Amino acid sequence: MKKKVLIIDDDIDLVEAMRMTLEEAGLEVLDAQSGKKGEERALKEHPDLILLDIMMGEQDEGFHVAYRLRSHKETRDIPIIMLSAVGQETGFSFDPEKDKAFLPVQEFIDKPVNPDHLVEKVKAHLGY
Amino acid sequence: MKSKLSFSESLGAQFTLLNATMLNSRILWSIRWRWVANAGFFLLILLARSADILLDYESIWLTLIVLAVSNLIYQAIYIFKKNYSLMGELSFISVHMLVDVLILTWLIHLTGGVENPLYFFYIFHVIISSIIFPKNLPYLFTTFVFLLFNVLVWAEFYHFIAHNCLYEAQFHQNPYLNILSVAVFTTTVFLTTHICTSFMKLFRKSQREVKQLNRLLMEKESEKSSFYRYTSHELKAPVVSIKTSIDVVLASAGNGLPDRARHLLKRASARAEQMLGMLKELLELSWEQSKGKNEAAGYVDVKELLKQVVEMERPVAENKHMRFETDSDDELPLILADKNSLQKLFGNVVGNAVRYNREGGTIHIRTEKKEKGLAVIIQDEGIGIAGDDLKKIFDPFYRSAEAKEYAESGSGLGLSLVRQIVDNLGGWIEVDSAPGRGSTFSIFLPAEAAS
Repeated sequence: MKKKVLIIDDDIDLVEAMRMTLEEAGLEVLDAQSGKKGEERALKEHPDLILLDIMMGEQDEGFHVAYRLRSHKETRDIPIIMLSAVGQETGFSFDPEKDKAFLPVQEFIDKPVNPDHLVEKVKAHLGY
Repeated sequence: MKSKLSFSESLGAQFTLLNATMLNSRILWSIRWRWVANAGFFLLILLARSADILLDYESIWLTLIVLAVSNLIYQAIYIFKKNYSLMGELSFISVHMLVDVLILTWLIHLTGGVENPLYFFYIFHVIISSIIFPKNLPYLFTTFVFLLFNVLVWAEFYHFIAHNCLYEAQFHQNPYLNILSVAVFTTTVFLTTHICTSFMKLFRKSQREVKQLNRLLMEKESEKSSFYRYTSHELKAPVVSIKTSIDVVLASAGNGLPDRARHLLKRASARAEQMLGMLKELLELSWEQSKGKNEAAGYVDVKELLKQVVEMERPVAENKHMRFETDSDDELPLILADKNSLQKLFGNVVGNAVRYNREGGTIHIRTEKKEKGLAVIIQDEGIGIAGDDLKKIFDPFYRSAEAKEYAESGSGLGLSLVRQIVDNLGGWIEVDSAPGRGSTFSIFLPAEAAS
C-alpha cells in the first residue's frame, strides 16, 4: 500500500509542485491549505508523514499546528518535516539540531525545496 | 508638540535633569565645597585677627565649628545611606541649603553686617535652588534669602542686635546705604532667580520634547524594520513557488525538453535563487538593524567560530585550489555577542575573500589579542578594490564593476550586514586594498559590548 504524505501549506502552487515530485516517487499525497484543515485531515486520514509550512496566516502558525498535532493521541507519533528557514523568518536564533528537545518536529527543510532533497528526506523518515 | 502627560510623567517632567543619582552626586559636590568655604573663611578670619580687627572671634570660631560639624554629619549620612530616592535627596539638599543660608547670615552678622560684601555669596545658593527646585519654588527660597538679609540689616540699624564693626565707618547706621544695599541685593537675587528659572523651564520643556521625539523615532524605526520583514517575506513566497515549480519540472520532465529550453529553465531557477538570496540578506539586515546595540546572547569563542566558518567555505575554496592559512594569539578574550550574528559577520567576510580571490591564492586569517578586545584580519590575494569603490563597498546594494564582472551573483548587501553587525557590537571594520593586490579586512570587536 502506498504511504500517505499530508502537505499543510497555504501556497497552492507550492503544494502542486511538491505533489508532482512526491507522487512520482510513488507516494500518495493529501493536502490542506490551512493549519486548522490540516489538523482535521491528519486526524481523519492518519497520514504516514506531514510536511508543514511554518508561515501560514499568522507568523508562526506552523508551530502551533505542530504542538496541537503532538497533543492528539492519533497524530502524536506521525513524523513532521517543517518547511521554512526558521531563524530567518521568525528572528529566533536557535539550532534545530541542538534545540530538538523543545521543538515538536523531526526535521527542517529550507524553502525553496530541492525536489531530490525533499524525496530523500521524506523517504528517510518513512523508513525506506 | 502638545500631549497629555500621566501623573508620574508630569512629575518627572518637572524634575527633568533631576534624578536621585544625579542629586546624590551634587550632594557630595556641595559637601566638598562646604569644606573649601569653611577653610577659606577660617584663613580670612586668621588674617583679620592678625590685622587687629576687633571682632567677636569666639562666636566666629564657634560658628565655623558648627558648620564643620554639620558638614561632617552630612558626609556621614552620605556615606552610610544605602537607599536614596528623588524626594529623599531633594529634602536632604533643601535642609543643606536652608542651614547654609542661616549660617551664612550669622557669619555676615558676626563680620560687619552690611559692611561686609560677603553677602554676595547668597547668589550661589539662589542659583543652585533655581536650577534644582521645580516650578516656582526657587522664588520661595529667594524670598527667604531676601527676608534673612533684610532682618539682618534692619535689626542692626535699629539696634535690635549688636553690630560688629568691620571698619570704623559705621556704615550700618547710614539709612541710605542700607536702603541702597538692600534694593540692589533684592533686585539681583530676584532677577537671577527669574533668569535661571525661566531658562530651566525652557530647558526642561525642550528635554521633554527631545525625549518624546526620541520615543517617536524609535517607534517609527521599529515600524520600518517590521515593514521590511513583512515585505521581504511577502516577496519571498512567490519566488519560492516559482523556483520550486521550475525545479520540479526540470527534475521530472527535464530530460524530455530540448537542450535550449532546459538551459533557459536552469537559468530561470538560478535567477530566482539569486533573488531569494537578496531577500534573505535584506531580511537579515533588517533583523540586525532592529536589534540595535548590546543585544547579546552569550560569550563566543571567536577562534572556534572562525574554524567553523573556514570549514564551511573550504569546499568552494578547494574547488578553486585556494589555501587557508590561519594564525592566532593565545588566550583570546571571549566576545559577548549573538553567535548567529558573528557567524554571519565572518561568513560574509571570509566568503568574499574566497569569492574574489585569485585561483590558487591563499587566504590569511589572523586573530590578534587587543587591549580591550580582539582583532581579526582577513587577507586575500584577489582582484582588490579601487580607491573610489573603497568608500562605497559598505553601502547597501553597492557592487563595484570589477566585482560584478568577476562574480556574477551577489546581492551587494553582505558588507552592509557586516558593518551593521560590527556597529551593533560596538566594534569597527577597516579595509585596505588596491586593484590587483588583494584586500585586507580588519575587524575589531570589544570584549564587552560598549555601553
